[in-house]
Amino acid sequence: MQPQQGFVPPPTFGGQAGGYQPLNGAMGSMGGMGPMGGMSNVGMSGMGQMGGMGQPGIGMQNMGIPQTQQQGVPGMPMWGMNDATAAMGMQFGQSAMRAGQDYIDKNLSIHIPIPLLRHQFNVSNSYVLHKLRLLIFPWRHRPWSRKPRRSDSGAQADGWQPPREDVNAPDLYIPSMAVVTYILLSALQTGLQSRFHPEVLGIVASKALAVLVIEFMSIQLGCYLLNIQGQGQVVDLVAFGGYKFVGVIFTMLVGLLNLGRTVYWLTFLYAFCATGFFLLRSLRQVVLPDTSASPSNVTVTSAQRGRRIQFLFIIAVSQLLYMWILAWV
Amino acid sequence: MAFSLGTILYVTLLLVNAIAVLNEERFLARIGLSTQTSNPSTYNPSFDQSYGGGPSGPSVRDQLVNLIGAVRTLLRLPLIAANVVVIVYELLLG
Repeated sequence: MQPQQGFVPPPTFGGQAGGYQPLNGAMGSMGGMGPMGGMSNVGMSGMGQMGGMGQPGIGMQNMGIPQTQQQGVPGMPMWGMNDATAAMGMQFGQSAMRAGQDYIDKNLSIHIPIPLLRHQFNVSNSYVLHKLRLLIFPWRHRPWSRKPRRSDSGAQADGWQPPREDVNAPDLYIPSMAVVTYILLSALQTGLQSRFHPEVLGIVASKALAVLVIEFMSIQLGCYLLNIQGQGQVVDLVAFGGYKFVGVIFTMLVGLLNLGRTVYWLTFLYAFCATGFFLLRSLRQVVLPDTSASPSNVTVTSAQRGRRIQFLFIIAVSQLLYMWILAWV
Repeated sequence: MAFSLGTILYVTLLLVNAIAVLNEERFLARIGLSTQTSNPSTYNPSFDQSYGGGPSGPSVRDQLVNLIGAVRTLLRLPLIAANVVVIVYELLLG
């Protein structure tokens, strides 16, 4: 080991040899470990000399870090390496943070589609009134198909008209307002029965969100199993899931009038039928895309079609369960 | 009220656990949901959106096989962490 040790500090290192010295000592202390230690010592010192030919300082700093990592001796006092290690660590941390930031930005824009949300809240007063009337009394409405948005060039269709232009388009304004109204209304109902407690608000909000999450996940699972694809579909499903709150609010308002249990349950059944019918007609656009009108070019075979109609029917009927859970405060 | 977001979280965790513990050889192969027995041309592990798979697309069974396989392989380590967190929470505060 002794000749190799003498080989390590070449004269080209000059003033910076002080920073290299503790490492050299560490090597020396491990020198008796056998042929492997000697081999690595030779290779590294040779490389260090090579780096020292062009830029002595940088070559030495860069060489220092792999050596400390390869030696892997914990608690070894290598004060000369601290600046280089810290700089390297800072650089690494910054690049990692930048990569993380990019990742978050990219994934946030994927998971929360901001343009789609903006599109969903593009409503007008007449749209909201028309849609509410449609939710309470959907029987005579026609047609149910959404209007595709034509681009400037003409025939090429991309996306759908915003809710402002098309009453059949799903929006998120009515569902979000309906959820808040539902929470406040159930608080009012418990207050009228003189069992209000501030916790009621949180419990009801949690229940409403849980119903939304369950329905969304079950529809999403069904769409996955049946291989139903469409653009902006996730936001549309959230919107369609939120429309049932309008029916629930209608039922609760009737229940507040104290007209008796029969009227209440008849109202509930009517609201369920209206919501189910509405969803049956509206989700048909998502589940069974009409090839002539829709911008997506998805063909559906007859076997798939039958299964999808069953799925649609299950979604509509399951509204009974959800609305019963929601109306039962 | 028993019906809340926490309940949903627990139910989801338990359901995913239930999918993850299904044994490939002993159970899934026996009821015909194993990834090995399915046609390798319809099995595509890369789950991207452009996954059309021909004019009719994959069947419900293929999608179910894909889902179970994905849950079993992908969610194993996250499930361990989530289960540990829930168990510690239940032990300390439950």
